[in-house]
Amino acid sequence: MGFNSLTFLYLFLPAALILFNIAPKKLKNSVVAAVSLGFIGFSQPENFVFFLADIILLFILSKAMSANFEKAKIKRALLVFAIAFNAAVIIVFSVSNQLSGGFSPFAAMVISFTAIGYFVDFYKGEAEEFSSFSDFVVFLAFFGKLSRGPLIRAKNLKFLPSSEKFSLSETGNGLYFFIRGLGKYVVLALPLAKLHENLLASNSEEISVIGAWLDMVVFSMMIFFDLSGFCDMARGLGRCFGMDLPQNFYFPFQSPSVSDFLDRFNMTVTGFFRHYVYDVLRNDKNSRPQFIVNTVLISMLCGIWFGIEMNFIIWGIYIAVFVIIEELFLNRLLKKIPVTFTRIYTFAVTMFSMVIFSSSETGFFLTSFKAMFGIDVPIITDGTSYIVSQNVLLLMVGAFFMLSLFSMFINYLRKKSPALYSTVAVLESALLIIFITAELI
Amino acid sequence: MKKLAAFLIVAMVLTMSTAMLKNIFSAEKPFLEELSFEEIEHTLSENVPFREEFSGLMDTIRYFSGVRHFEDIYIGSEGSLLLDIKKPTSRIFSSAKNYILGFSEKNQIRPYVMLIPSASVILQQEIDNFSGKDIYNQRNMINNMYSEFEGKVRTTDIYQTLYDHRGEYIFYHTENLPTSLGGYYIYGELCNRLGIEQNKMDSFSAIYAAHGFYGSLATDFLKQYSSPDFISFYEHEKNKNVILEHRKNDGSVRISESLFVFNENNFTDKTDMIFGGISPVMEITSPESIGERKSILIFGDESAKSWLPFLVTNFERITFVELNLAEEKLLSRISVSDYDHVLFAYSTSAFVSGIDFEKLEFIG
Repeated sequence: MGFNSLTFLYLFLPAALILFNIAPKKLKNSVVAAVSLGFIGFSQPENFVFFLADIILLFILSKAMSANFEKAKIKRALLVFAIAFNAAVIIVFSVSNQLSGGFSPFAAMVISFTAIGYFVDFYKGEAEEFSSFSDFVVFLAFFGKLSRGPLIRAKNLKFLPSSEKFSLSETGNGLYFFIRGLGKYVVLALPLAKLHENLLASNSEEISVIGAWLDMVVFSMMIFFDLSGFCDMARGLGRCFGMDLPQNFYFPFQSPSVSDFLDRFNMTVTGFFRHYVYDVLRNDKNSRPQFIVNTVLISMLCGIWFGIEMNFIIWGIYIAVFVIIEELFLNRLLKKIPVTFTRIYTFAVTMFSMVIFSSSETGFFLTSFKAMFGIDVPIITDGTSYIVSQNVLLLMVGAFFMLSLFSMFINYLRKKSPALYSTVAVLESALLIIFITAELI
Repeated sequence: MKKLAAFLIVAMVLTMSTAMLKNIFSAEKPFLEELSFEEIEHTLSENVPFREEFSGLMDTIRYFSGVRHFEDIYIGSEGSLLLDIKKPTSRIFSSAKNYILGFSEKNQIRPYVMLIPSASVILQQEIDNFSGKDIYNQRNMINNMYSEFEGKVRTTDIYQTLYDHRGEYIFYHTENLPTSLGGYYIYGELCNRLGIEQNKMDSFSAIYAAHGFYGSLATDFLKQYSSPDFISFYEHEKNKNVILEHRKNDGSVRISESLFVFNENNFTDKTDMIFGGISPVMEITSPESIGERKSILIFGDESAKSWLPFLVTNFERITFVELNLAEEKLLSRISVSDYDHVLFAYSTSAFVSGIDFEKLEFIG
C-alpha cells in the first residue's frame, strides 16, 4: 500500500485521522506510532518483522547509550555499532532492491539514516534521549516520511503546540497539502513516468534530436512532480498528525547556481550529508583538494540516496564538478550578471544532469547527449511525433505547474486574502480528489 | 486556513470514504474474499460512488486532447477498436520454431503453418499517420517466422488477401477477431494451399445471428467511440449433418449437431455462438463433406471461429486443438498418423502472447 492507493486515501488515512483525533492527548503519539507501524505492515508486509525488530533494537541501543553516557569507551563502541548496523541495513536493502527490484528501499533508508543522525547527535550531546518508545517510533518511522523523506534530525522534530495540533484547521490544512502532493504524484508524475518509458523505448529503437531533448524534459518534470509531490504529502500528513516537517524540495530547476540546486533538490538529504559527512571530514585548514574531495563525496552520496547504481554515482560527480567550478571560479562572475542568466545557466546544467540521472543503462546517456546535438541522428522520428501528438495536454500542464507561478499565486493569496485562499484551497482539493480517484480506479 | 474550508476538505475525504464503505456493506456478497492489499484495493475500486463517471473522466479529457490510444487499444476513425500487437520476444520465435520442427521431424510430416495478421495492421488506414508508423510490422514478423522454418513446413500467406478486402467487414469492430466474412477469405487461401476445392460464397446461406453487440475491447469509455458488431453464420447444405464434440480436460464430452448456437442470450462473448465457444479439443465429423474424404488435425486459437466452419465442408473429420487449454491426458489420445494433414493456424495476437507448443510432445 502506497499513498497512491484508494486503500490509503479512503480507508487507512480517514481511520488514522479519526483515531488520532479521538485519542486522549497523552496517547496521541502512541496512536501515530501504531499507525506508522501499521502502514509498514500494509506496505511492506514481508519486511514488517524486520523493521519492528530494527526499531526495537535501535531503541534499546539509545537506552544503553544513555545509561553509559559518561563511559566514553562504551558510548563510542555503541555509536560505532549503531552506525555500522544502520549502514549495513541501507546497503542490504539497496542492493537487494537493485538485484530484485522487489520493493522500494526508501523506508529502510529513511529509518536508518535518521537513526545514524540521531546516534551521532546523541553521542555529541546535541540530541536528547527519547523517553517513550512511541515518540522514538514517530521520530524514526512516521509513515508520512517513509516514502521519500524528509530526513529529520531529533532537534528539528517540531511537534505542533497543542492548540494547533488538534484543530480542525490544521487537519484541513494538512489534508489540503497531502491532496495537492498526491495530485502532483498521481495526475502528473505517474503519467509522465509512463511517457518517459515510451520515449525510452522509442529512443532505444531509433533516437532523434527531438526525441532525446523531449525525454530529458519529460524525465525532469517527472522527477520534479515525484519529489515535490512526496514532499507535500509528507508535510501535509505531518500537520494532520501534529508535526511540522521540514521542506525537502523547493523548485530546484529555478536555482541561480548549481550549488543552490543541490540545496533545493532533496534538501534534507543534502543537509544530512553536509552535516554528518562534510562537516566531519572538514578540518580547520580547509584546503582546496580537501574541498574538492568532500564536495565530490557529498554529491555522490546524494546520488546514491536514489540507489546504488552507476548512473546515480556519475550524476553526483557531474553535479560536484559544477559546484567545484562555481566555488573556485564562477561565483564571482555569477554574482555580477543578472539573475535571469544565472538561472538559465543552472537550468541548462541541471536539466542535462537529468539525462545522466535517467540513464539506467550505463553509457546510454552518451548516446542521448550525441543525439541531442544532432550527431548522426534524424531531427525527429515517426515514433516521437506520435508520442508528442498523444501527450500535448500532459506536457503543457506539466510545464505550467513546474514553474513556481501557481505556487507563488497561492502563497500570495494566503498572505493577502485568507478567505480567497481558503476558497481556492477547497476548489483545488475537490478537483484533485476527483482526478486522483479517477486515476486510481 | 478558514475553519469552514478546512471542514469542507476533511468532509470531502470522509464522505467519499463513507460512501464506499456503505456500498461495500450493503452489497450481498462478502466484503473480502481474502485479507490482502490487492483484494481491499479491488473491493474499494468496485465500490467508488459514481464509478462509471469517474473511470471515464480522465480518458475523456485525454480523448479531447487528441489521444486515440488507450492502454493497448487504438480508436480507429471508422468505429473500430484495434488491439495493439506488441513485438514478440525472440524466445517466442525460437520456441515456436523448435517445437513445430521437432514435432514435424518426430512424426515425419510436413505441416501447414498459417499466421493471421490482426486488424491493427490490416486496417492501419483507420489510425492516424504517426501511430500507423508506430504499429509493429506484422508483415515482417510473419515473413521472418516463415523464413525461420527453412522450407520444412508449408506456409500460407493471407496478409495480401485480407489487405485487398480491408474495406469490407472482415474484422469485428470491438473484438480482436476476424468476422465470418474475413474467415471466408482466409478459408479461400487455405484451400489454395491445401490443394482442395474452395466452395463459392453463393453456396453458403448467410444467417444474421446477433446484432448490435459490443465485444471485449469496448470498455464503457470506448463504447461511445466504436460501432457495434453483428455476427453472421455461413451455413452450407452439406454441413447440416455435422457432429461437433467438445472434449474437456476432465474427460467430459459435449456433443452438438450444429456448428452454431442460435440463442445469443447464452453467451457473454457473442462470438462463442460459433461452435458454442472453443474447447481444449473439438472433433468435427462431417459425413457429407465434399470431395475426397480426408481428415485434418488443426492446432489453433480463437480466430478459428471465423474460418474453421467453412473448412468443415471439405473434410470428413477435423480435430481442433487449443494447446493453451488442453492438458496432457487429452492430448495423448490424439495420434498424428490418423490424419491426412496437420495445420498450425494462429492469429498474430495469440502467437505473440505465447502458445504452449511444448505440449506438442504429449501428442502421439
